[in-house]
Amino acid sequence: MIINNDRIEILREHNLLRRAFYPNPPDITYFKDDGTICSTCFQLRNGENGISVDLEHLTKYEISIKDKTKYRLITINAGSIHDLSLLTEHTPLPDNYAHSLIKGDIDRKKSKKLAGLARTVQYLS
Amino acid sequence: MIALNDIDSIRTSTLNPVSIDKIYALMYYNNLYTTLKEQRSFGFVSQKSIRAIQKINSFINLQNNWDSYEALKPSITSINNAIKFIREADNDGLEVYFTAPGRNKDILVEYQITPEISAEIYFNEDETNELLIFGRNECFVEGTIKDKYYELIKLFNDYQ
Repeated sequence: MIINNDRIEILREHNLLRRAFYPNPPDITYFKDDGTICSTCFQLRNGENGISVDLEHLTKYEISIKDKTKYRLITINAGSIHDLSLLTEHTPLPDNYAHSLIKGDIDRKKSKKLAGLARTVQYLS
Repeated sequence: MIALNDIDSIRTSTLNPVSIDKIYALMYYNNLYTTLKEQRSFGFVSQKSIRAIQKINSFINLQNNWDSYEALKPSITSINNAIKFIREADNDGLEVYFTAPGRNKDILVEYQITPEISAEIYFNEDETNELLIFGRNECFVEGTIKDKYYELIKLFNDYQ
């Protein structure tokens, strides 16, 4: 459903993508040894009004990942984000129509839960 | 530890004079004991914690926007405070499970009590810190190191 200015409504079944730091070699990374993702991946930076993500169905993995030597893609379901009393909003950028934001009161506890819900995208170029 | 100028007083003050060899032996073991004690107090940390400290030291090489979402590079203050804490907590038997830079110049240090219970400690640029303990991603302890560290230690000891 198109809202206005080509913005669409994010539905519960939609998935959102975020780049997670994973350089080669992965000496500094968001991924723990057991493959889970650490909370700081979903930490709000001071001054940000939301966590940047891409709507999965409006982009391609090879575009969203930007640099596969530095990042992995992780995916999180919009419905599970809404269940945390957080909002999702499609906020297209001139160079990225898929850009969206996870908005709301994202404190340490919510960041932990978001990280717990995220899954790594098994993406091969 | 026996100072060199104490040797004469030891030799002359005892009813049964002590040989100089025994005094030197006593000094040697005294020095050795003191050295070991100091290592434990200030410098001796587990391999896991040493690796965590090395990793945190490497965070200084990150540049702004290191995550591609305009994250700020970790501050020296956060790094130093995280390392100081890791050394101290290691003396209590806590070994770091994971560490990562935050997006606001902060540092995350994580301890795993059990596969389901973990503690996250954040060292912020303004010298504050936050300690959160989670059970299956649900936070059940939240505060600062000063206020909640004993709860972390208690949990750690309970599950050892």
